[in-house]
Amino acid sequence: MAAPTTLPSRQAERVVAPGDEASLDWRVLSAILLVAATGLWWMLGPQARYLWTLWTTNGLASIGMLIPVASIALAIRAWRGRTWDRRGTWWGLALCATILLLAWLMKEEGIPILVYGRWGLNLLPAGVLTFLYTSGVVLLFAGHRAYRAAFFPIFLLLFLNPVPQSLITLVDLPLQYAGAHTARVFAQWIGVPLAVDDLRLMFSPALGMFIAPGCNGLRGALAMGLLTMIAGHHYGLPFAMRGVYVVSGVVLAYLLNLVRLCGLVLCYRVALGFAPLARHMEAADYVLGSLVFFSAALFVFAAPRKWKSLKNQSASS
Amino acid sequence: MHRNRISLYLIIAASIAVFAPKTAFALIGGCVDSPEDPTVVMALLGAGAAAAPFVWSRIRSRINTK
Repeated sequence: MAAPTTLPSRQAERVVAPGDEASLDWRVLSAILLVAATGLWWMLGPQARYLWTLWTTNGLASIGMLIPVASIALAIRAWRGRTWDRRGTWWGLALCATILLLAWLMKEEGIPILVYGRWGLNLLPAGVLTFLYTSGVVLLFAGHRAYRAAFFPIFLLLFLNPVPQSLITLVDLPLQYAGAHTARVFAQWIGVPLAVDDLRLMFSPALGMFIAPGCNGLRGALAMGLLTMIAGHHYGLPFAMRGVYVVSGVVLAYLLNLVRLCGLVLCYRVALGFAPLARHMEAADYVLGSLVFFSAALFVFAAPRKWKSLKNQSASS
Repeated sequence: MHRNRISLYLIIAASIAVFAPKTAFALIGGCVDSPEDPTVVMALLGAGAAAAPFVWSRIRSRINTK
């Protein structure tokens, strides 16, 4: 079988309007979106409902609902101002056909799962299928150069379901214990009397906090990881530096969750002497977490901005 | 007059809260979970933090031009 060739360019036949050549062709972009959406709906219809339920009921996975929005916005940004030469390749069609065939097989035969002991890993989750199918559509309609330009936004689609369940079950409990231990040590350090019952820290018989699975720092780490990935791409950090930046963001967000827990211990300390405040501890927790995360994000986003301005300065001098 | 009434109300409310018996906590009921904000909220906060310098510089330039 002959290798798929490049689609003939119709650029020469097109009447190019002044200033049109170097702009994003909205008709091609609409075609990409339409074909991608139709194929994805056929392929991932049941999984789309599953993803929506996951995003709206699971606090950790909820960031997934912003991934398609971010992906489309970054793709438009990457393609804006580029010469749209329409050099699509038939490799894209081959990739799309393969993914649709796999999706059909999955509907007929079930999802391929790699099982090791009591761990199971879905080999073709919704994110991987969407990433591969969208890659195929972009290659088919827009070609290699456009695909390379928009690789990062397409790559983001892998995080539609941001963390596999198997990974969550692996790290959830140890991180909960780490959080509970830190809060307990801090409470003892500031002299707050505390009854400790495993992951439950009781400041009085009826006032206390429970280090729930949703407060072990995983949410902040995940959100900061994705945000630093996008910021690193936006500011054009070199690949190695981007890796260090993302890892630093994840670690910082995790450590700041421990700061949040210590801050919450202080809030409970105040609430012990001020009963009406005790009713609002959950709200205080959310506000405290928001403030800590917002401050960290300001600091984290300042770093690549500074790097870019220093780079521009050295380039100009 | 109006301000004095508000001050008095605040002093009384604070006194009740401070001198309330610790057993009042028993009525609050249960142990409060301490969950983190959902990641979608954090992402929006992060996007706000990312946009903050641009918004601030735009506001500053608008003030300077006036």
